[in-house]
Amino acid sequence: MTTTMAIMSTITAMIMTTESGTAVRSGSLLLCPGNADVCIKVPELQISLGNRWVITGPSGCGKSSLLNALSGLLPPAGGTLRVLGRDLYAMKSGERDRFRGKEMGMVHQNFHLMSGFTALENVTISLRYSAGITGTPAKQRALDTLENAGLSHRLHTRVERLSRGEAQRVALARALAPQPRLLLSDEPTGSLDPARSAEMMWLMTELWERAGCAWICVTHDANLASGFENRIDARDWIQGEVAR
Amino acid sequence: MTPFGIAFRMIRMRPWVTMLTVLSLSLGTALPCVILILRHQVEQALLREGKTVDLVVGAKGSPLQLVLSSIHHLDLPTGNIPWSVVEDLRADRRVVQALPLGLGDNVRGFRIVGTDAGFREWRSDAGDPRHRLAKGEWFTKPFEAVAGAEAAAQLGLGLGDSFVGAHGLTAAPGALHDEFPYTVTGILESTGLSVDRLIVTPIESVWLVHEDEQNQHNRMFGSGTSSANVEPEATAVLLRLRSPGLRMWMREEINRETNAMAAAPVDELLRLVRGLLRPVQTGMFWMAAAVVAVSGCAILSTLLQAADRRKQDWATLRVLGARPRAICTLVWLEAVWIALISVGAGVVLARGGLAAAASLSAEPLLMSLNPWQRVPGEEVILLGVFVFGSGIGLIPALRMYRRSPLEDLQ
Repeated sequence: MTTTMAIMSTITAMIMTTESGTAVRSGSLLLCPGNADVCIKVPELQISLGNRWVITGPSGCGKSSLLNALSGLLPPAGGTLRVLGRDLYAMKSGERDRFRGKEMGMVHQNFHLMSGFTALENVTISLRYSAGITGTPAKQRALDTLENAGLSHRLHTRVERLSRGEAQRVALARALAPQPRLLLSDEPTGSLDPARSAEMMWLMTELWERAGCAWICVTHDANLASGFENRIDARDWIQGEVAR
Repeated sequence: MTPFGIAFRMIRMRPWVTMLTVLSLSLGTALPCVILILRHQVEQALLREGKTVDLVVGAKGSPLQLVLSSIHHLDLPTGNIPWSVVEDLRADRRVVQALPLGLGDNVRGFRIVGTDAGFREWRSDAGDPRHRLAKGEWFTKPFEAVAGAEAAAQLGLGLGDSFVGAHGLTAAPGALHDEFPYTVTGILESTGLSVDRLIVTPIESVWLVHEDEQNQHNRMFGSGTSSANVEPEATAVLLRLRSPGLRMWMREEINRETNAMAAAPVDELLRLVRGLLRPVQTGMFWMAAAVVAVSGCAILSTLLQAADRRKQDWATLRVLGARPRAICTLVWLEAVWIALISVGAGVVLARGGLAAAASLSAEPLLMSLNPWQRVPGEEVILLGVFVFGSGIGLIPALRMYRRSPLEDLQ
């Protein structure tokens, strides 16, 4: 019995070591978004920690679906998926939520900030529910992150009064405040004009470098994609009709 | 920011809708509270005063009317009885005290009650004097008067002040007895009972005022009686008996053998409370329950709309790591806040409304109201409304619990 347990623990340790540098690993992933009539088959993916990847492709090719699957919100219909060394969909729902909150940060095209709350409150509220950080530590963490995002002068401004560029920076600060190991962004500059878009990318890159996490960015903007070292072209992903 | 703080901010962001919802539920809270306070105080006042009198004797008519007019000063008297009845009762060995009352006049709705020195000796249930002077002295001769606390305050009467009575028992315009001014010699302590609304004077004052009226009437219409022939009368006599067991015996005896009528206040008042007041109050409680139910629908509609408008926020929080239970709690806490504020506002509305009604009433109220008195059972109503109001919030909360964040973010 003791010998079996020792062997098991050795195997687990080996797997952990192998996967310790991997942010995402998937094989033959089949994604079937709820309101679409097609499923997408994503080929093998291996994304290392500390790297940044861009997934490009036209609308509807499954980029955002992959991001949803990576964040634990869209269970795959088939294939294997491990994120930060864990099989997300083997976890219970609550455990998956906690894992996502603690280990991943998300930035959306439409920011999805909570209106009626200030920039600072948006980040502190997020910290409460993502990383379980509350009170003074949450406030301090939020202040630091917003300051890094260049928003120290807009801390107490309600988010609906911010410019689009500022709102997206708050969304970025909110995503990075829990110090995630994986940053997921879905068309992060989609709502910004070209000048603001470039500025935003510059800021995101700088903050990503400081955070040292993996970054997977989904975009259909070729200019934006050209700044990334690693690129996945989603046009090649196989799509097929599904019987529902 | 705590979940309580977040939920509070959420309801503050839609002030008009929240205010209307709170107003609706606070009315639903205030209504049963007002009914309960009134019911409690009316019953308390009726029975508290009624218990100090074993029997009341007056002219034949409705026993309840006799009790209400003589003890609580709420109704018109049944008529007058000859003074000889008072004397007979005083001579009866079963009677400890017989207090005559003479009614007929008022000062801006506050009744002038003629009585005798026995008024100051009248005892409460516990044996304490029922009527104590807050200041001044008792009356010693006709047209001296002692004012009840509320009557003095409302009429602005102080020691040594003079006033005149008007014919009748209500504030309706009546003939003023200008030639018979009264002088205030004392002010009674406040008791919360009907005596607070009275002006008490020797019964001879009432006789003199109305004897003069009778003489004028006789002169005008040619009756042959003179003032010397007018037999004194009393409106009623309050009796304290040697034993409560004598009540039924004496009541039957007086009703059978004399032209007067005797009534036992406790019996009449219990009949009134059980037969009339409680069914009316129960009906009003059901009305209040209907108001609360309608308010519940308002809360539900408000919260469902609010949750729907906020669904992207909740979905974002879910994506950021919040568990469905946390979102469910946030939505529910909005209902908790609304219920909490409504219950608080309901208490203020009920108490404030009663206080305003008591102070703004042009006529003296039928009984002294104490809007701030704690009433048993009020906590149950407040808790019930709170549980109902916050319980309603579970419906939108559970709805949000089951929603998919992915759908709401698209």
